[in-house]
Amino acid sequence: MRCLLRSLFPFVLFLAGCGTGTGQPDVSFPAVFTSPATNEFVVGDVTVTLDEARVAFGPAYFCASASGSATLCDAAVGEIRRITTIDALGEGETPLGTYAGFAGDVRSASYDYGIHWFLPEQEAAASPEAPGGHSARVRGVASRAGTSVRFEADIDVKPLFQGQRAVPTTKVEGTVTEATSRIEVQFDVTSWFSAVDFGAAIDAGVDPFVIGPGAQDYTSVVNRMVSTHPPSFVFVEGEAPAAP
Amino acid sequence: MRFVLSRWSNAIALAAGLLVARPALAQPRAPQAPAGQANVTLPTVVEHVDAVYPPDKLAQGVDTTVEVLVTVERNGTVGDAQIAVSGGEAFDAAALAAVRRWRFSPATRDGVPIRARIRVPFHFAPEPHPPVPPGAPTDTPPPDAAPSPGPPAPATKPPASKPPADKHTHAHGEQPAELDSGLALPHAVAEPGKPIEIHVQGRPNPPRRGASDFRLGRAVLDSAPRPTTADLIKSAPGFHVMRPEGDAVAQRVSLRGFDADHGQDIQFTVGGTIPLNQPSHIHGQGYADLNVLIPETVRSLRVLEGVYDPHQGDFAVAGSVDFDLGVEERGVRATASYGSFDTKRLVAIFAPAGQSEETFGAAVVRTTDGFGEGVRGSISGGFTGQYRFELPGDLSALVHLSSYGARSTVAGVLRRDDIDRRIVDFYGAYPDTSARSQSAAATRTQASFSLQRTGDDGSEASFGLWGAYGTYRSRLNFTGYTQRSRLRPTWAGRGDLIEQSNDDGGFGARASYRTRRYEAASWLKAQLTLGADAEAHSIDQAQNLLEAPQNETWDRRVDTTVRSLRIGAFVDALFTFSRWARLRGGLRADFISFDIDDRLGNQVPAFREETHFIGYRRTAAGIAWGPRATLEVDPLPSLRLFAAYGRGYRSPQARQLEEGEQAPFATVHSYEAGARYQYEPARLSATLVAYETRLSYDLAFDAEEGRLERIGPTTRRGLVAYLQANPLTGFNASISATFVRATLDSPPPPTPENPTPPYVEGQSLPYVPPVVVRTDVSYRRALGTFRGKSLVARAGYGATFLSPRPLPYAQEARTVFVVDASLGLRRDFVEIGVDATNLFNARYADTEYVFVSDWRTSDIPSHLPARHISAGSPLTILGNLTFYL
Repeated sequence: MRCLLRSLFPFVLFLAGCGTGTGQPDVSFPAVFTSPATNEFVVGDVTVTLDEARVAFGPAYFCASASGSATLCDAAVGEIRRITTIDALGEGETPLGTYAGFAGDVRSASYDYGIHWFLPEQEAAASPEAPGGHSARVRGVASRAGTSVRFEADIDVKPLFQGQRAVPTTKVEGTVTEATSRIEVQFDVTSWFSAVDFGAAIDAGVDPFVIGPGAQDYTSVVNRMVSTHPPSFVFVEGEAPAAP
Repeated sequence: MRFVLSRWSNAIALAAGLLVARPALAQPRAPQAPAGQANVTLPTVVEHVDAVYPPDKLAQGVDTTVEVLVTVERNGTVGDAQIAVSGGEAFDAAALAAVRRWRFSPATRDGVPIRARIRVPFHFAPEPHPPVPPGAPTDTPPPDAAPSPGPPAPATKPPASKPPADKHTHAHGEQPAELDSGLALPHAVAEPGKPIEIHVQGRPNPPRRGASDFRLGRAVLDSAPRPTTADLIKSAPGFHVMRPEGDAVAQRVSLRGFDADHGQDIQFTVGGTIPLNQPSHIHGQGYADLNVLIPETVRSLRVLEGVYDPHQGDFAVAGSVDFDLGVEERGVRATASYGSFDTKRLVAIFAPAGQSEETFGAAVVRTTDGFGEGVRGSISGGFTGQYRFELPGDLSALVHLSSYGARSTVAGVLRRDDIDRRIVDFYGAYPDTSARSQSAAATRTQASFSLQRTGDDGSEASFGLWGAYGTYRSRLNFTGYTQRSRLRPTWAGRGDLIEQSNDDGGFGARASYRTRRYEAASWLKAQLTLGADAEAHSIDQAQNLLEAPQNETWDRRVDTTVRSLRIGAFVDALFTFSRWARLRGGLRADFISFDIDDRLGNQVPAFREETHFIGYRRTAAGIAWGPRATLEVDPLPSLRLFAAYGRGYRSPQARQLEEGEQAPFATVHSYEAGARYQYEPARLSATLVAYETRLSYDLAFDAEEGRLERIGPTTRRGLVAYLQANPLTGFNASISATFVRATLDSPPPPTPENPTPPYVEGQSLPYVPPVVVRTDVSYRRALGTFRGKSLVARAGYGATFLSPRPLPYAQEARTVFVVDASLGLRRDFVEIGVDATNLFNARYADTEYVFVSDWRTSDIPSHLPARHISAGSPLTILGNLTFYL
């Protein structure tokens, strides 16, 4: 009997392997932040130079549905389960961890800027990676015609509801295959702060100019981070480009 | 229904055989002895006991005759019984065991009781025996019976050979009068001098409907420990049974590529009368909790894999299983068991001697802490009682009552990655409050009353009524903390403890009539069966989310009353073209209607102004048709070829129906071709089957909702090999191997929430093992005597091998190989035994799932579907002490 079983076993395993797969295969590859490496920008007649721009990013969840919100996307197709402090002014790439998920189309993403409200937490909380306990900490100088003011902003982007991400959904156009080698995340802090009325700050002579919660400039920055100038996500196939 | 007819035909055949002689319309009178024995009356049967077709011979289909010489004492008891014509050891024993329990009114001479010797032939046929017209010879084997390896049935009159004188010597020192047989039941008198034909059928043994029509008797069922009735069906080819949700929730079953969940694809019945599947159950369509039956009272199983019999009704998609209840060993039996995890079980069975095997009472109680960390404890109790009795007018009646209740705590499922990271033990449970609040409780009470009458010409009429009431409560958390209230969307993160309740009261009836066999031509005979059945249910069901530990309701998902009515009708024909070819089949149709009071329907989303009151009442109805046919050809005496086709269906989940919807039945087309070979010298039978089934839409388990959701049409193709042998007395072995390739034909349509469902065309169906191998071996023999009493030992094992089961998202479960074994030693009325399940202590996942969960075991939750397991039981040893009284 034992011999019989032994001889049958390879046959059984062969038969067991005859089936086809079940759905999308799983994939994983690195996620990186690629910096635009711009620390200077012009808003009207004001030149703004950033001395510090640190942003907490993550976690990020990717969905096949058009909306990545918690109520419309029960199961993600990919995720970056790490919170990273990004020096947005640094050159080169910043590793964000690993993108893990399944092959297939990705149409939306939801993510936090270092402040999360996971279930069943009773309130939103900043992660240790959040710079100074905030989603973003930005410092710099705004100059116009020889007049300069320092400015600083501690931006908090909080989830509105328990169990949701701070950015409930962002459109993504991408397809993940087994050939996908990495995902590039990119955002431009200068574009977020282009909404700030630095001219008024210079005119007011406030130094340092603090962009705080409740201020119009603060809200404008948050809106850009969440809605109008969110990060972009690009899935790259083939070998990852060599680091510069 | 047909199962019942045949199951009862044992007793009926006895009466029919006697009626062959000549029915008496008036009260019986004592039969007269033949000429030359003037003033002598023959013995009359006062009380008879059915002979039992040896279960381990069922698969071989032996058709044989045993003739017993019976001495009837002056007080009507059987003083001596000897085999005059042997039909084989097992059949001889069965005939002797039965006839020794008969009671007679004694023969008389000149009015004075005398001892008498008569001859009683028993004819054992594995399948329904053809009608025997009065006076007709009976040596023609039944056209639909297996080729008879045994001697032909006796002719009109058995040989008048007289046993040797020394064998006639009786303890009383008085020679009994030698009489030709002339027995009569109380309601019928045999013609003096006529031989009596006693036809004994293997029960339940309706004609085979294909090569995948398997019969399992106690010889197979006793091979390995069977803690529950669900464990009995493990021995059927292709079956796999799991119990991931504790003792109070119905088993999960897979069969030949079908993930039948809790019964959605398999029709379960008791005695062919009582349906066990519950329509529109909240925990899964077709939910069937087999715990209502006590495993020791299951005499045999008929497992028909595929849909080839017009008697198969709702939920017969992958096949059907009928439980035949009976207790072979008469008397009182009590078994006490104790073992691992502080498991205690006590079962008592009362089977009065002299009654039919179907007459018994049994009760069981069981308690256990369960394996793991004490989170699988359960307590349960059950009762089954049956009484078979004869009524005037050749009617046979059976009353059945079963009741069962259980409550258990549930460990729930665990994430594989948490086990791998040693966050939680493989056999443990999450320490979370919500996880530790999982439990289930269920009850079921069912009763039935059946009548059957078999005519002298082979016609048969039967009628049955049944009623059942079942309750179900479960609180299960598969996903941890992912849910959000739909009524109050800002409520979230209170734990996904889903409470489900289902209260189902149902009743029904069935009736059928089988005509006599018509002989259209010398080469063509035909027989027709017409039948109908109906069942009605009133179901109250609810599903809520609870916040542990106070079990406060924080969301309501279902609050529904469903009333359903199903009416089925079928016509089933048998055409016998010759001794070597038969065609069976017919047409079945079922009408089903639903009235659904969905009290949470038309819900107003929280962010919108209320414009109406919630609630959605709707009705739906539909009709499904199902032709079925089986062709049998016997090219060789030992070889039978089968080809079968059938269309079956499964009623829909009522809650998912829209107003006026034509009750979209899931329909299945089954095809198979196979062969069955019997090699009588080695008592071996082998079956090989190739099959295909196509299902119009399949269901898969949705962990978020804790219920089944549609996934699309599916196809299964496979092979089954089944070998059964009992080359030695007391030795029985069976092995089956089932291979299936089960694929999804097209994925479910995208939805806004899920534009790319986790299923793709042509993928393997998740959760069902492509290869299932099962072997059962048992051996029983006498070891000798001890202090004047014989010692009988038994040993057996059952082993199951499952190849890796495909899982969603290209995952694959691990191989499963589990061996259960049983040992016992009996002396006189005491037996000690030990049962071991999972003998080699294999660490295996009973079930595996893939879905999103969050058990707060990581700082950042994952929203990816992840593998989850429910641990299979580790090595469990139970010691048994049984008293036979």
